[in-house]
Amino acid sequence: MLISQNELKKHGIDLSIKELEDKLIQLGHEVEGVTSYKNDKLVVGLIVAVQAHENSDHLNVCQVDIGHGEVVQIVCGAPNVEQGQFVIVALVGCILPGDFKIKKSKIRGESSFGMICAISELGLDENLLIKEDSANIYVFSTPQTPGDNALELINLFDNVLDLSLTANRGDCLSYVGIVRDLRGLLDIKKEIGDFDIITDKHASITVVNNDDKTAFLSVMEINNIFVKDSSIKMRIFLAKHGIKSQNNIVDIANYVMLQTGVPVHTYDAKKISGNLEVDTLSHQEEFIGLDEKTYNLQPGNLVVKDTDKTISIACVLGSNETKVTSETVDIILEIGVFDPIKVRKSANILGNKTAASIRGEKNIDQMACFSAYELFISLIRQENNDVIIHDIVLSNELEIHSNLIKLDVNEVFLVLGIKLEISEIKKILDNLHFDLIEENENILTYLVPSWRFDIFNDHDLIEEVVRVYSMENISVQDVLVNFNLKNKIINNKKVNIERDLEQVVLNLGLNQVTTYSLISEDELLMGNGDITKAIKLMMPLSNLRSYYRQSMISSLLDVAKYNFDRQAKQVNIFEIGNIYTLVNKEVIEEYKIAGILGGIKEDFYTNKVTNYDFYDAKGVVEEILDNYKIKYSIIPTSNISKQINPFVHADVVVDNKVIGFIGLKHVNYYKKIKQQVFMFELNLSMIEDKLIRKITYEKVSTNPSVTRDLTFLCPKNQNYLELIEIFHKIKYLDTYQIKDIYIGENIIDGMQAITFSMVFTANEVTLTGVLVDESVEKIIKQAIEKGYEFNKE
Amino acid sequence: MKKFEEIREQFKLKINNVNNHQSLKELKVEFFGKKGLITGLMSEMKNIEDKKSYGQAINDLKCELMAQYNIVEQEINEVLLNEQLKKDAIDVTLPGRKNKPAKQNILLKTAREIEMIFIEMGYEIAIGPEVETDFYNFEALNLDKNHPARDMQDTFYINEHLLLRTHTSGIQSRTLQANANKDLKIICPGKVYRRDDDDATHSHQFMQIEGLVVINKKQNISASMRELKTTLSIFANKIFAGEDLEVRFRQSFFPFTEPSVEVDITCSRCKGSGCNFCKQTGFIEVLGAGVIHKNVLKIAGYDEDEYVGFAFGIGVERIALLKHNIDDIRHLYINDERFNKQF
Repeated sequence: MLISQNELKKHGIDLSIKELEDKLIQLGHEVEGVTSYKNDKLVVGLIVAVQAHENSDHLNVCQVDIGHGEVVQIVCGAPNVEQGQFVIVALVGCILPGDFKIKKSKIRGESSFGMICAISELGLDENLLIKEDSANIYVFSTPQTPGDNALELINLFDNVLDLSLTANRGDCLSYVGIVRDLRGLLDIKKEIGDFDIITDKHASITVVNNDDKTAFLSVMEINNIFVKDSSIKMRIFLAKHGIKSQNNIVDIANYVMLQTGVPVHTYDAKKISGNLEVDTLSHQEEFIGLDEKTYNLQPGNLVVKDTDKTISIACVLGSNETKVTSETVDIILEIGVFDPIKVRKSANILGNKTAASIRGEKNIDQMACFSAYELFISLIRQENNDVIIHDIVLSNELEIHSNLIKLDVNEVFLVLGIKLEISEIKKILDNLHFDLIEENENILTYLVPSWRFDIFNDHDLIEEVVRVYSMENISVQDVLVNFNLKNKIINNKKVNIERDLEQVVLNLGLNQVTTYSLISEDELLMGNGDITKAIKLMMPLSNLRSYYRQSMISSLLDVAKYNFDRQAKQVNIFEIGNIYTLVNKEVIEEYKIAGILGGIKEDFYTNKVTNYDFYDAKGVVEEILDNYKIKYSIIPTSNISKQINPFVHADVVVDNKVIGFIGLKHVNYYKKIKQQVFMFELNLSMIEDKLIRKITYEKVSTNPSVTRDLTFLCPKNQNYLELIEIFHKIKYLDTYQIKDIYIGENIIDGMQAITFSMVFTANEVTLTGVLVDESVEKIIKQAIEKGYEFNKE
Repeated sequence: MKKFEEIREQFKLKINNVNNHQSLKELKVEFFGKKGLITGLMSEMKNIEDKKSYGQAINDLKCELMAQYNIVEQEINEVLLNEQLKKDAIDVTLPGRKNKPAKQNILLKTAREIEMIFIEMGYEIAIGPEVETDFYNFEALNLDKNHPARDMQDTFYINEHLLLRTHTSGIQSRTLQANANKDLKIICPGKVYRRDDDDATHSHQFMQIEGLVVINKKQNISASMRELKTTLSIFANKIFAGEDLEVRFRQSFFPFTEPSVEVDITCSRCKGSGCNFCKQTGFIEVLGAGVIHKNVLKIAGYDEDEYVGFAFGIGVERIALLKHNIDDIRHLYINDERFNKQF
């Protein structure tokens, strides 16, 4: 909401802009920005002579008295410039909005020392002004003193603050509300006077309220009005507040709304037939608004109708047909307190938030409606003293809410942590118009003012106290003492697993990423997702993000593609995340770790460059599972996946259940990635109970270990599990690893020679050559039995 | 004695030609060896009368020559050592061989840093589902059916009752309900979703870490606005460690807290003097907080008159962006290697 510093001053709030900002922020009204229209180089000028420019058909050369005895020559192109006019002159050196600097210049041979201005050139939004304000230079209607500041005379020597009000403070969408708050803070409370509404004639119209959530609808007929353009001060006032000037009648209605916070609507009385009623629509309807746009109204929209048509979308927009025009002589003024929720919904559906709807979607103080009538009447009488004002007609009796709240003074300490004197609390609340009804030791009972729809309990009152006392005055402690709870009660097994596992995998050299959880239907299906169980958004922002993923692989491939496209040589990434499915209307949460390794692997110490391969991915999976001492097997899969090359695809099995896979990206999947990419994914939920790292010390032999290399000759694509099973049974064999795989010369086609480096250790006995030889013999014997050949070299 | 002179002359001549270990060794054998020239002098001892002075003379000669020999030996050794060292000579100005440490995405890293700050303050981590019911996400947090935040426009609904959580407050409502009338001190990290188009400052998915403390009023400990301010000041100073910053608490409004505050810190770009980034205010909003609304406690099954506490919500993206001066929230989710490796 926009608030003018000058206007606040009129209301008795005389503060500098910095003080205003600070006070408003303290009250909880965030100041988002300040627009200054102030300019000292815009002065009143008197045109003493006008002469047509010799080299132009529209320019005039004017001699302008700019005060202090100085007359300057200014070339002016405005069609309405005349001798004897008092005008606004931008002096040489003046900087107009848009960083437009006024300099001495020559225009078609004639010197010019300044510019005579139109209203639209002073920083206001041109679209909010009337045509004349841009087409013509502004001419003061009464004589002025040349050299005086021109902006002060038209109430534009001003700062306008942009307030971001919180949702609960609808009562502050007006000068009355903001001033009330500021007065409370500044300790200059002003009592609220009685209304003074004097009418001339009995009303002849009736109004009906057919909506049970609408408090009331009221109207007042006024005859004998004269429609014309508003005064310059009114036009500027409205433009400063972001509202377009229409004509004097509509402008007064908007002015009243800005002052009181009550939306006021005016209709041309001659265009209204019969009585008025507020009702919800039961059918769709086409509606042409006073902005001349067509809207499709929906069932449930709240509208005001006369006997045969919809005349406005309640508190949002009036109809074009019934709007006040230059021909209008009688008007009907409408003020209602409509259902805020329906107002918001109408405004949303129409995509049209108006100054009225912004206020109408909050609760409106019913008492303020009468201040609005009072203000409107006084302003319309100033326009034309002959107006005939009818009585106000109400649809129903008003029900003013009266809320009583008890406040225990001790609660103030418990909530704020500071001790306040009871007298201070009482003073603050009194200044904010909370009436103390009863005081019983530490218990204060207050009546909530009619405009405060956000006060329900004692904490609400404490909030009022701290707004005025100031949040800044609650001192911060140096340290938090005695602030630990004794008992730990949260089960954070899953958190512990995730935090531990990410460190494990980071230590393996994979980079941890985080990606979006929402994916497209295609990605879900290609990633073997189950669409029947999928979590699907009702209203996605785009089809590319319409399902909750069931696997992280496609997201990681997006990352891989992005990086490969940008010349990355390698991608080695992982992510840990939740996945969700819906089974029998129940949400199932699981969590997974997925990783991708692809491209070139560079060994920085040997300068060897190799491609990532299957065993890199497998190694990561093995390291993860080994870390938690989980028993697993990694075996060729019988599953068919569109994502994975069937010949480079293994299941990870724990306790006879497939908990994940490792594989090479299928060439037909994610075709845009040309590099070979190896992927793995493990369902952590399935092994959650095993993902606990408990390290128990194992005795380490003080004797050196013995290493032997053994080479086996075996067919390619052999399943090595048999060989490994043999190894596991050998007593002193501690660790083994593949040292070399050889295919080529001296090896029969289809066969390969695999060399294992085996480390033998004994803890209890001294490991002799004999013991090692015995173990090696055992391995060879058993391997030969299984059909492996043993290479003696 | 003439022989002595000859040997001395011969030695001088030879030692001048010695230039490596081999010739040095040969010299040593020739003069000092068992069959060497000096030893040879000894064998003539039998023909000499004044054996004592002859022996003395041999010894003097030996010492004299040995001294020369030692000097040369040392010189040769030095040359050799130098040659050996020289073999390892390299260009030390060439760049070092760098390891490529694994990197954690900065968003996650920031989240872990925030978690650690609160864990050190005695908070426990609680988590909850991203697919949440409207009850836990809204209703239990004092947002009634007609609250604007519940519009289909702003929230990803899955069906009438299920949605992607819009904040991690759902964890708070669940944890409160599960532990009704117990003291609690938790933080709730997690992914959240809002129906916003992605741009430099908005993301349909982001991370939050919310915190909550509830304590029985009879306890010796209190969890009031003062402790909240203290907690958040400690947090801000730790997470932005090294920056000289002012923390400002500004009155605000949230449905689930009352009183509510927004916390601003000194703008990192202009250091508080006012710039376009902070809209000339000198401050940047970093988080929202407040004393837990009585209705929230009541809905969770607490006796709302017996318990008091505070809650706060931190947007992890916002902290990461501010801390590292990152200009676009989307960088955090794209995972460009060149971006990620900077942190």
